[in-house]
Amino acid sequence: MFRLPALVLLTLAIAFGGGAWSASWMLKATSGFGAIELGAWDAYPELQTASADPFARAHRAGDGRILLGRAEGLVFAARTDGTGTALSGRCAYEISGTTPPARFWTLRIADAAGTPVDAKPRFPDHLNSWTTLRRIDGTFSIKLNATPEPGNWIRLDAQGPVTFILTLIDTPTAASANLADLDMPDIRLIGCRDA
Amino acid sequence: MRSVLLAVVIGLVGAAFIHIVIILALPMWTGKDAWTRVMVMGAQNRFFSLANEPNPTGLFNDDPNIRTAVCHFDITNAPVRVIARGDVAMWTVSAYDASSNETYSMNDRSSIGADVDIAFVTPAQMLQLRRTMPETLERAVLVELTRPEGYVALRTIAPLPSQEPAARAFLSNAICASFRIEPA
Repeated sequence: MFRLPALVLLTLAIAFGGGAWSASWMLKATSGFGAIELGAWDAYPELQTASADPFARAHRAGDGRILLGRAEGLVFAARTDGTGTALSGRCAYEISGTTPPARFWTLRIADAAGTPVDAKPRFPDHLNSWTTLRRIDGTFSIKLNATPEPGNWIRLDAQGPVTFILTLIDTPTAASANLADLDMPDIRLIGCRDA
Repeated sequence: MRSVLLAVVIGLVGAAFIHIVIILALPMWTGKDAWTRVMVMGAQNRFFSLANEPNPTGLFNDDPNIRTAVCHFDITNAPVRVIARGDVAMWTVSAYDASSNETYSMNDRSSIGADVDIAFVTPAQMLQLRRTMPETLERAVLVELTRPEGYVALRTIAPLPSQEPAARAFLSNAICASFRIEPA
């Protein structure tokens, strides 16, 4: 007698439960398609456009940031070092090399959710293309460490995973035909303090 | 047994459908997308400079070297013109529609002269302007928007702390005002 209502209930439970669960799982598992990956760095040049995919749009609406337009620049994020190990706020890193052509770039640290990591007052928590010291050939080497370093130094002392964010302002990178030719700086692990 | 299997299969089809609906509808219901946050900041047709620290509006300058101001507009009745000038190293500007899709972007290298001078118009207003181009708009970049509602983000850089006041002045003096097209 209760066979039909039970079957309808089962159908609805699978539909709503499964749909909601798979949607939230997909949103957690992916941040959208259309990323360009250069070594440890990735960027979403289409994220702010109408051609962004539905998952990227859902993330975009959830983050609520005012994204950089195509003529403004491109934001690269690195969650791992050059060997693929996740970046930790308890470790020291060296970022060296060159950036793709850009009129201005900044390097800063964010946590896993993309929120900027606050440094204590008077400690450098970011660098940009004006303040970075370079070698004669134009390359640079930036140390990220809890203790001060000579040369370019960003204080990195955070709990948990971190993300390095490299923002290129006014760059042709997104439109580059051959991404393999682009030089992104290399991220090298120097060492970790005991966690 | 067969009817249970049928119920499960129908349920899975429904789950796929609901999955798609949730993903597609989510951008409209998060309540914290960029457009909603820009609307909450204040009245239309004026620039609001973002704070440097996280705050209840949800919008702030997350890059310590890049300063942003936003202005939302509705050009249904009158076009909007964005003007800014100042002693800054560079500036960029992007316009978005109400779904936060980029509609236009440019920077100081692609502008005529060193100042920001952009007019956002509807296709109908564009026709009107083509007939009689006012002299004041001759150097402005005319941008035709298919959706009348949107917002514009104006950014400048402050690589060194000493450039902070100039960047702040550039953004706080920026104008985002509607203007009338004089009938010919």
